Amino acid sequence: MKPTVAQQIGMKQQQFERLFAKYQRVVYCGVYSVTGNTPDAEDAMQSLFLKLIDQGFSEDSVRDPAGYLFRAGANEARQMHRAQERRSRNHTDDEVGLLRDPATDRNRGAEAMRERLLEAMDRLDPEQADILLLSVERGYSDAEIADLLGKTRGAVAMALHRAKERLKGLMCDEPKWGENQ
Amino acid sequence: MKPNDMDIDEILKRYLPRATPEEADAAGERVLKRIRHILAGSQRAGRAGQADVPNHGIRARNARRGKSGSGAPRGSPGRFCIKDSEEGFTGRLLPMR
Repeated sequence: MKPTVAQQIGMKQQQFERLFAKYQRVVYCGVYSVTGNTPDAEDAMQSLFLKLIDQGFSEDSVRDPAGYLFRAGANEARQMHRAQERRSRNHTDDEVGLLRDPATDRNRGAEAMRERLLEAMDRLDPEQADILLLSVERGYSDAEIADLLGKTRGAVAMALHRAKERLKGLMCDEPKWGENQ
Repeated sequence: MKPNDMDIDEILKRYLPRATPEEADAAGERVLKRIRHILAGSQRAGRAGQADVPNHGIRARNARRGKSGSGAPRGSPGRFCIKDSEEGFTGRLLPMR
C-alpha cells in the first residue's frame, strides 16, 4: 500500500534528524564562512536542510558527505546572499553585539577588512570560492578537494593559486562609483 | 595597498569568518526547532487531506520574513484590507478603520 503524505514526511523526518545531528556543524561552518553573520547563516542552513528533506538526500549517495554538505551550505548561503542587497541590510544581531563591545573602535577596522574579504569572495567564481573555502576553512588537501570535485590534483592546485591571486586583485580594487549604493 | 604587498594567506587566516563548535551547536539547535515546526505543520496539513506536500521553501521564506504570524508585517505603515470605497468595490487595498 502506498504510504500517506504524513507517513512519507515522518520517514523523511527521522532520516533528517540523523543527518542533521551528524552534519549540522559542518553545514554551519560552510554557511557562516560566506555570510559572516548568525541570522543569515541560520536562514541558509534551514533552507538547505529543507531542500535536502524534499530531495530525500541520503549521505550514502555521495563519497564525502561532509565535504559535499559544506560546499552545499556555502552555495546556499551564496545564493541567498546575492539575492539580498548587502548594503541595505539592517543591523544584525552580530553588529549590535559589536556596537556594545568596548573595543568597537579597534574592531571596526577588523570588521571592515572582513566585509571587504567577504565581498571579494562573493565576486569569485563559485567553484574557485568553494576550493578556497575547502582549503582554508576545512583544511582539505588539494588531493581531497580533487576527489570531492572530480578534478585532478594539479587542476585544484592551479585553481587555488588563481583564486588567491584574483582575491588579491578584488580586495585592492577601488569600488566603482554607484556599485555599492 | 598593491596586490603584491598583500599576504592573502594571512588575510584569509585572520578575517575569514569562522564559527566555533559552540556557535555552530547553538545555531543548529535554533534551526532544528524551526525545521521541526515546519515539518509538524506539513504533517498536520497532510493529515487534513491535502494532496501535495506543502512547499517547505515558501513556508521557510515566509517564516523568515515574519509573514506566517498574525498582525502587520514589520515595517508596514499600518493594516490594510480589501473593502468597498466611496467609488464602490475596487478590490484595492485600503487602510483599515
